[in-house]
Amino acid sequence: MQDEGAVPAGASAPRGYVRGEWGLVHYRAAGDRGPWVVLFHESPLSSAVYDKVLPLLAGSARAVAFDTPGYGLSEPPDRPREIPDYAGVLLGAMDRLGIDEFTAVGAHTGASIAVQVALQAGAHRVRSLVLSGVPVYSDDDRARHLQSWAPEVGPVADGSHLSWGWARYQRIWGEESDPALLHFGAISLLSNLERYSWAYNAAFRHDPVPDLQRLECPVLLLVAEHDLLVEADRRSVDLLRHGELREVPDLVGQLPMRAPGEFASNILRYAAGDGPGPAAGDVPAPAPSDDARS
Amino acid sequence: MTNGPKTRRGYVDTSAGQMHYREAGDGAPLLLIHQALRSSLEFRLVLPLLGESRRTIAVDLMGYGDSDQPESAYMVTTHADRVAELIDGMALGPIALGGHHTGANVALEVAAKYPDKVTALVLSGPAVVVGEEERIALVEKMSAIDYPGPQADGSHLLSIWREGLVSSFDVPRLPGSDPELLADFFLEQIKVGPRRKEAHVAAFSHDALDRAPLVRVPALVLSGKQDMWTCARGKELAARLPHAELHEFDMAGEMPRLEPRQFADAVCAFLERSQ
Repeated sequence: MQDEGAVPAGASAPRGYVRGEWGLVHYRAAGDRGPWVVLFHESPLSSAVYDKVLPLLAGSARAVAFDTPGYGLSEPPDRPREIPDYAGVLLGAMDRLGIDEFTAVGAHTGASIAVQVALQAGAHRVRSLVLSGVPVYSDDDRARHLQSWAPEVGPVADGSHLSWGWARYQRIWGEESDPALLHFGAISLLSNLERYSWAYNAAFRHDPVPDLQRLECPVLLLVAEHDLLVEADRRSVDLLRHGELREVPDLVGQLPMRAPGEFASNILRYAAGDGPGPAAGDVPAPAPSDDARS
Repeated sequence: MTNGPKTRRGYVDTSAGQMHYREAGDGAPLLLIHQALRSSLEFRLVLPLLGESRRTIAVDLMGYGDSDQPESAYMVTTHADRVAELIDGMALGPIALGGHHTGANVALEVAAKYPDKVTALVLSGPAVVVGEEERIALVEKMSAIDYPGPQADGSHLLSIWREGLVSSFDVPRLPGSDPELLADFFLEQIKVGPRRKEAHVAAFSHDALDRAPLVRVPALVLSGKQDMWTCARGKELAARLPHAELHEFDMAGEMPRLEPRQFADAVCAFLERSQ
């Protein structure tokens, strides 16, 4: 494997900054017509997770993938904040970009953020949601994760933090994962060691159950069969008024990178209003799928 | 943390894609260009210092930092064309231009090729290759270096980290006592990606002595006495520049990162004298 890129291979989408309450918010954008689709990433990665998905959305939607404040190139808050705070800042960035009615997409921490963005924007602006691994935990798991999931690790002169970062991604994404994918995960973590725990811990402190129950729009839970949070999604679907659960077999997660075609075609289905529930619309042609099960 | 004006960031569109930059301060603009295989982080410590007296912009050359990967080769002349586009794209007007190592070669090339865009020039340790024989030897040496891609055991990360301590010419880079500077270096290498060898080889593509006489504006040459030999030829280069002064540092070649105050003071004093 020769690809040493910090982002997965694929056409790079135009990027930009928009002002936010805590500083600049960085994003990748694709497409100039069709419904708005906003995408939020899992901790501690960046909008680069959507590099393979954005070109697939571009023909039928106007897609904007955001770096959560403190991740990628978005500027951080001055101290740890909560999921509703992150969502408020990102919704402010969406307003400045002129995004009115939208479909929100998110994985893990990004799923909690997407749900909060939808609730804060109001039902009239939200067409649908596509979520992957909504962080629903028992109180015990929540406390345990806050204690131990994201330990403090500083850069060390001998580089031992690099080995730690690599081993971490081997553990949570699987040793058999493509080294380029592990490289992307580890580098995303290592490029933000100082504050990588902030959004993780915000997600562990936030209970999305009441949020999910309040949603009025169609919601697709699209999750990998072996995702760390697949059990949670299997339960969460019953909390939703208009919910659908769809599992992608054989994968451990990171659907935007491991199954971009399937991920994109499901987003387009929901962005067009073809999910369960009251909304209805035209079905776009499915995006070509060249997904690799690795 | 260094005090001083807050650093801002942005993108400029060029014919080869998006160019990313960071900047600090207001007033007459100074544009700084990093060395090969690095990024605008080269001037992370310098920006707030120079930003106190002028608008100081540090750009990521194409293929480095957060700028797009170019389809073309990483030649000094190509980088110079993109910098000229950025000067126009940001409507900076004629500006003071500076660079470090290969970035200084790019700055020199902009001043030689686009004289109307530059009012003053800061050349910090540009590569001064003397003769075709030396160039061929350097290119052969750089071409022989192995640049490992992602390995299943992650060992490529550690080998890139260690490159931050000493260069392939055994010149000291960054001190092991400063993990933050090493982390900057590490991320810069990672962001170049699979084209690191190509970028390293192209760094020696420029003939500084041949281009220097074309520079019409005042120039400050900064030189690290213990730097790699090609970058320590400040005296020889200054002699070929029509209006040059020389400022030597008693160190190897990481002046903007290791001596940001001295670097900023030397640049500031020069710009005040010359403008």
